[in-house]
Amino acid sequence: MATQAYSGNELTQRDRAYRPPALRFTIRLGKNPVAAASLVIIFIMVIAALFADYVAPYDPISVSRDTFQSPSLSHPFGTDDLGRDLFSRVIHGARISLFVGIVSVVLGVAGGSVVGLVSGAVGGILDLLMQRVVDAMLAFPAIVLTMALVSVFGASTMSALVAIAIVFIPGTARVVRSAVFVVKANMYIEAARSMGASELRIMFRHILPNVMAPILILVSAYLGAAILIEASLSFLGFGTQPPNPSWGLMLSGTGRRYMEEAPWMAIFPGLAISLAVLAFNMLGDVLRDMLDPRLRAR
Amino acid sequence: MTQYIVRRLLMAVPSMLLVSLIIFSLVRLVDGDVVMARLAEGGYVTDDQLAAMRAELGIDRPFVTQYLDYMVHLMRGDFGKSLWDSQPVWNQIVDHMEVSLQLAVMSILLAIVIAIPLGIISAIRANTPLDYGARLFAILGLSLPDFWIATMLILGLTLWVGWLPEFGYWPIWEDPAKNLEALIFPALIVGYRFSATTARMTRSSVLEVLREDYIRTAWSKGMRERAVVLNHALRNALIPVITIMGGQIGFLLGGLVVIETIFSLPGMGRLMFNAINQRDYPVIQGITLVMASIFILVNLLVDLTYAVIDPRIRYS
Repeated sequence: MATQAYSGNELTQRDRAYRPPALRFTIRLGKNPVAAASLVIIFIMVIAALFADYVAPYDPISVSRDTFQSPSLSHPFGTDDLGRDLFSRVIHGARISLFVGIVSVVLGVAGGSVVGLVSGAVGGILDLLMQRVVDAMLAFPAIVLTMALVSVFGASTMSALVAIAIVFIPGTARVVRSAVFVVKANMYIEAARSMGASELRIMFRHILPNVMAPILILVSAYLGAAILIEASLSFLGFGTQPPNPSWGLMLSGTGRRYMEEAPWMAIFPGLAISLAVLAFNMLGDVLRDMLDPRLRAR
Repeated sequence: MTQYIVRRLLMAVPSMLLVSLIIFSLVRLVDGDVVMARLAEGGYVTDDQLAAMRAELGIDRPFVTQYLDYMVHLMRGDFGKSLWDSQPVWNQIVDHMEVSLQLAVMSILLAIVIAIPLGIISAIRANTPLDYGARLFAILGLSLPDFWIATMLILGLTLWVGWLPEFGYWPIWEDPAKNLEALIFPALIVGYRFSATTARMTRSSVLEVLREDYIRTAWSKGMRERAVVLNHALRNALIPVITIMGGQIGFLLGGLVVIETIFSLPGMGRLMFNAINQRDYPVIQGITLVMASIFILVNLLVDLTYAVIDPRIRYS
């Protein structure tokens, strides 16, 4: 009897262990209060961004006669100089910020990972050349390089996106390359090679999965940075153009001109940026502690 | 040591060449726009005029010739002329360098004074409310946009204090009081972000060193906490901190662009901002090149300070 009860217990334990790794990881992440809070903030913002047309009470662009209304029940964040509802504009702004942030990071990190993977796995002259280019690109301050790129592409949301993606390539390449060097020294790589696996197969099937941890850490750290850079570019007038509701743009021009009479015009868009970036940064910190305790805080 | 410096300087040369090549190619992508932008004011343009303007700017020649020509001029300290007012770019950069330099130095000093003690306290009181407070301060510094902090600061000062520092710039040797009044808030804001990363690095680096055997030895000898931390731990924890500060110089220079624009300071950042608005490519090219050079040189200096901090490090 006792033995049977015991084996039954063991079975449920086994069942629990059969959860796919990604799910188990998410559950572990959710148990950390800081990560959970960040995930909730990010989740709300993503939902707001995806369903902005339904969530936002007003049209973010159409003007009205209710100018400079202070925050109230009908306008939770007040209205701006053109009578536009700031709450709706901030919700629609989430769409631009998150879109530019996520897409630029995915593009930049994917590009940088390929460069780092090839550079680290192939080595030799190719590695040397690629690393000199990476060195040179890393010497440019991120904002300055994006500004220079945007001046070439012309100011728009899309050029900001592409410029930010380019800025992330060298940093990712550097991190992935050094991770590849560590993985490459493992016996299983030699084993794969001895079994006749092609270099390309080794690179993508054997090395890439083992350097995913630093790549994931980079993604979360860069997401916050990407949102900040997009906001800065739009603030300076080199990103999203009016009348589109970008958080950075809302803070420039009229947001600052009227801030004494209508401080809410400058407060809420800035709070939105800060909250989004803070959530991604905190999530990145937790991820780094969980995935690689040796990687230090930047 | 001298040998090492010379070798590192020589190693910086290919990087610098690549940096210049990247900027040069970038700017060449849009030469059509430059000609068009300059002629746009004139209204109707003939093909002859276009060709003449291209010849005048020297952009009708092959790319390699143009680049070599640019490099030869660069070697002589000639960064070309502004498309806007035909002023030599180098002179403009030198004129605007002073403010940026002072702002950068003030920000770095503020960051060191704030961040290193904060990081140490955070590490030796790890997982106490004091530590949580310090870490919150640091992560907010990484997350709050500098232009929003500036806006909120100006707003707070006007609404609650009823006083604002005068916007503008007065050279420090002409009017030190006014100079500091104008620069203290910009320096605080730029320094905040810089101290955020520095404090985080100091914390994790000190935490790591505190686990070393020689720290246990120091404790067991009955040394006071102050002596253990300041004499034994800090010195060994400083190298990663200085490395990260070197790497953050890029962010510092980027922050200058935003903050100088907000506080109307005539620095390199504002020059860059104006140049982009005026599509003044030689100026954009020059500033980007100067900023990248500063980054490379500062990081060379960082490498050299390792030996000063840790005599065990020898350059070979």
